[in-house]
Amino acid sequence: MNRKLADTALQIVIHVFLIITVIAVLSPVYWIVIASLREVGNLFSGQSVNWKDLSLANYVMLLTRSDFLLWIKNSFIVCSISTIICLCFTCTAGYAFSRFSFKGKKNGLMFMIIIQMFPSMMAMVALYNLLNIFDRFTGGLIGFNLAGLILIYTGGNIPFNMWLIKGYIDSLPKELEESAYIDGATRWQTFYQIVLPLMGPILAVVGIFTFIGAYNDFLIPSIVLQDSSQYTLAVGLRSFIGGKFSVSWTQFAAASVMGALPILVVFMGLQRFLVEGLTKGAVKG
Amino acid sequence: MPPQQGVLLMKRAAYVLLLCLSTLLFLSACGKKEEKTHLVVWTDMNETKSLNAATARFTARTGVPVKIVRVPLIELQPKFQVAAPVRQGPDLVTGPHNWVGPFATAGLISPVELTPDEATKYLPVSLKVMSFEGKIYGLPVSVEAPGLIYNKKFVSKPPQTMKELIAIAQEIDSGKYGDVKGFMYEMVDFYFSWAFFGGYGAYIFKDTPQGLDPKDVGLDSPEAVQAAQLILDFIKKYHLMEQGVTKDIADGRFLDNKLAMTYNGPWTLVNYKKQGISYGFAPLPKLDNGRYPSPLVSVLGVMLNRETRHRELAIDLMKEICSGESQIDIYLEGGRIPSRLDAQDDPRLALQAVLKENAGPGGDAPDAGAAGGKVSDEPDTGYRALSTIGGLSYAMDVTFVPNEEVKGILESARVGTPMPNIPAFTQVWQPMKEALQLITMEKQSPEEALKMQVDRIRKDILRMMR
Amino acid sequence: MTAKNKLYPYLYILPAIVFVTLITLFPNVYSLYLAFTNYSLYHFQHFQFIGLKNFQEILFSAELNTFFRVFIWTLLWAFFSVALQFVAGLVLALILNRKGLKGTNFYRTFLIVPWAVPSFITVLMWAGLLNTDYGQINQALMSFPPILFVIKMIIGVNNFFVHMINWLLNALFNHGATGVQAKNYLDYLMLNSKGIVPWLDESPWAKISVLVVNLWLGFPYMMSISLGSLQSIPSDLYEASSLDGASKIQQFRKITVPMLRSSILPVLITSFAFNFNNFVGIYLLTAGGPAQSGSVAGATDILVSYTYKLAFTSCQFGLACAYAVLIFLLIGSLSMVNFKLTGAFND
Repeated sequence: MNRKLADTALQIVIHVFLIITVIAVLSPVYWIVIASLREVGNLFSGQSVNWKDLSLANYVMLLTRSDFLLWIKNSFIVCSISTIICLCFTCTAGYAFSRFSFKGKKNGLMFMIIIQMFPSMMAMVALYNLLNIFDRFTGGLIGFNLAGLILIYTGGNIPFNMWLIKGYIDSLPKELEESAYIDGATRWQTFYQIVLPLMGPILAVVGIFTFIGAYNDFLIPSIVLQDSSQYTLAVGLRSFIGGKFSVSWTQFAAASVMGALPILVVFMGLQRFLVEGLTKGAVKG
Repeated sequence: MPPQQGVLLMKRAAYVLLLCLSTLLFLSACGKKEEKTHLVVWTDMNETKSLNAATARFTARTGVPVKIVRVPLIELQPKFQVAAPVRQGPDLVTGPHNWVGPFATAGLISPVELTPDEATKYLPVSLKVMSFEGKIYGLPVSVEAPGLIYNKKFVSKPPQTMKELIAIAQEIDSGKYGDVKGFMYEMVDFYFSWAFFGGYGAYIFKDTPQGLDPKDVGLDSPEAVQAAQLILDFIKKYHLMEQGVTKDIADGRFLDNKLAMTYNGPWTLVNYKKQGISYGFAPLPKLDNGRYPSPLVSVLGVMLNRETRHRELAIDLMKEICSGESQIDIYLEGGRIPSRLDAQDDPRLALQAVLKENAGPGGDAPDAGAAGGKVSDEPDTGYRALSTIGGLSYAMDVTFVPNEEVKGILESARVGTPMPNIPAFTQVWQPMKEALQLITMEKQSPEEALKMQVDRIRKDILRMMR
Repeated sequence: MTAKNKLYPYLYILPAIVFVTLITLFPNVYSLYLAFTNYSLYHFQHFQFIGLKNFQEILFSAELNTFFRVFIWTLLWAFFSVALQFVAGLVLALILNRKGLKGTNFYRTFLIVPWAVPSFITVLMWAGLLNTDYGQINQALMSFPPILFVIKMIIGVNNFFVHMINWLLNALFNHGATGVQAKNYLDYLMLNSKGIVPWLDESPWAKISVLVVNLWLGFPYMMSISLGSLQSIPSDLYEASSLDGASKIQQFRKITVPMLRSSILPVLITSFAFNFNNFVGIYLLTAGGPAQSGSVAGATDILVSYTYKLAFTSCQFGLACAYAVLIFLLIGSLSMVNFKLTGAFND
């Protein structure tokens, strides 16, 4: 009886704590949402909210009279493709670093992680030259466009994702693979049919991480993309405040709010992968 | 085992399908090779209708289509710098005139030749600031200068002297209209505060017959210290504002009718119009030495990429964008004051255009045509027209009101200082901002702070030029 | 081991290696090359190799001690950023991972929001919220009666003491001939003259502010990683140990921590390196400020933003690359030491 009471009390405490945390975390966003519901003004106009003044005009404008949907589409193309390709490459690479032994295994990974630590500001010029070479090489197919962007995001995320996946696979018990091996499966079959299904949680996390990283980045696309029909969301957003002395705060706020929604949707969709644990389909004994 | 194989097959099929889909999406992300001859212009201007009209006229005349790419201002300069040398840049780029020096020095833009006849059509100072080392590097589109913006509800006539302004502001601060404040602006932004430096007689770079001398910086002179002291007095002596005021804060208050006077530029007026605020624009009032503060005058210009493959055509397009007709269109659409004398004298600029959001279903209603500029629909060039973001296209309802706004801006520009366009000027912004921060936060005296930061500017300029 | 078997692993890693070489290695090598040139605004189209001149300029400049000060702060910044984000993320993950907790989906989705909204608007938003005189945070604090009361008390007590001590000094030493003034205790708290917190205007508060904003930005990431990694621990381990009578804390220390080690350690170390170079996180909020007299570097400048100010703004791109190389050497060797010490790459 006491146990149950204590448990319920604990539950309540936890819920209260979580709710307070959520409120604290969301309060800046609250102000952004309020700003987006105003027609004119900026973050400082109207500390007190005049409920009558709020309207959805900005959202309507964004959906009907601007390129917002185009930006979202472009962002989605870039982010999902680079995430998928990156996941494919890093899965196999992570598995190799975890389960195989080969020359350069130990230091190779460390080396790759370290070279990622180069401050990236000057990399712009180098990346530009790189894309230029690609552009000439492929006759404009891959270059200063979304394809070039995909290339950059894929490559940039590989070392770190590889390491994460390796770490995860490291903590998976080896018995499952060993029993499959004994049963006559090839290395690839072991990977593909035993290990891969168990990697759900880490793939979800790595996937989200890569997706969001590419989604929010504005530095690279702003330099790389030439055609305004290829602008991603981040670049499009910058155009609201990149003008002289930020004149379009409210539209910027609305676009940011709407821009955040796809991420939340993606995250919600991948949630169930986060909870699929080892217990599912595990071989006992 | 049949069921397992079935599952396997399905998995394979799904995998292949995913692969195909990805490839298709990937290919759609790739670029198409443009074959036709066409010109590309990079700009951050919001006046898309006017630009489209100008390019349509150009295309009708020459048969060459033009593509306008909108790039946000903060990215336009770095993007052009990276793209132009590798032939990925546009043919023309628009930007504030102070880019001329840096771009010319880096060899990114090339000069244009103007006949004397053509040259006289422009406001002299606007051509002067587009020149560097004796050559003209582009044509000016518009002229602008910040000035005093006042809310007519609280201030009926603009103050004539600084003393008057301070008195009015203090009166309002003491509660005359409730919690309305008198006067606020972003003090640490050198772009604005310079006006006081200039008014007291300081100079940024010494003007010599050969042009501005980057090695002679005059921002720590006694006159400069006087100006800095005035700014500090705004906070300490007259209690008009606090140190941390930003343009957003001042702008926000003004929009809320909670600020009587502010010091900002013409680009903010669009929003004030939308809000229905009855405002006035005037030059900043005279200082106690009898001179007007001298705000920085900025010219928006069109520059020619040195790597362009269609030099003659590009220059032609440049002249079209900067023509009188185009400039009037641009004024009517976005409020930018033309740089051409014939455009400035045009009776249409005497009109105060009252903007109203278009209430029609979809699309924009065609311009009333009354006395408005010729605004055409999307040109038939086969290229996607720009979407209007920031400054949206409004149907303009034109009413005939004497336009003090244009008069005010031009007067402000008259007493203003043209922004130096030499590369050395890029080294001035950050140190001066920090000097103003340290002064207004009272961490250093004006004299100390200016001396230290200007020494730093001198060092930075030398280092830049080595 | 046949020849085929020897090459077999390389097949698995080949595409990854190719990409990394292209996208990461090549730009770094190119930047390294640029560090030895005089690439700048005045030498834009045709720059020359100038050997070690850039490095000489850096190492023998007067700004060197500022460089060290900034380096120390960068280390602290990276360390505390990671620590705060990780602790917050792990705690939330542990709570949300409990069996039988209702509404975890709901909480998780809302807590992910800081990550989902593009950071350059949220950071600008924070800069506005933290404005000393007009930001919403101080406005809220000031209108909260208990806080107002406390502040008035502090100011009152402070003034009282200052006056008392000044009177004493005057009385003892004849009309302040020593010129000694009692220390204003407000200065210790670094509050501004009205007694409110100058979040972005004073050095210690600005440092706290950037850390808090970074915490807000980064904890969802740590939370997600922790959630994902917690899944890899078989639950029967917990069941078995609780049957044996282990307490929650013991379970945490003996099961959770070791199992998480191999998946979380990479995250911590690379997060440290990421924040070490987190230009956007600092620059958008404070631009490195508040300004410090006598130095280019502001109070919150980290190495990358500081060198950006030094080199990029004077358009000395070759010099900027040289700084980048130095920073890379610093963080690279730090990380290598880290790796060796923690055995992150041992199996």
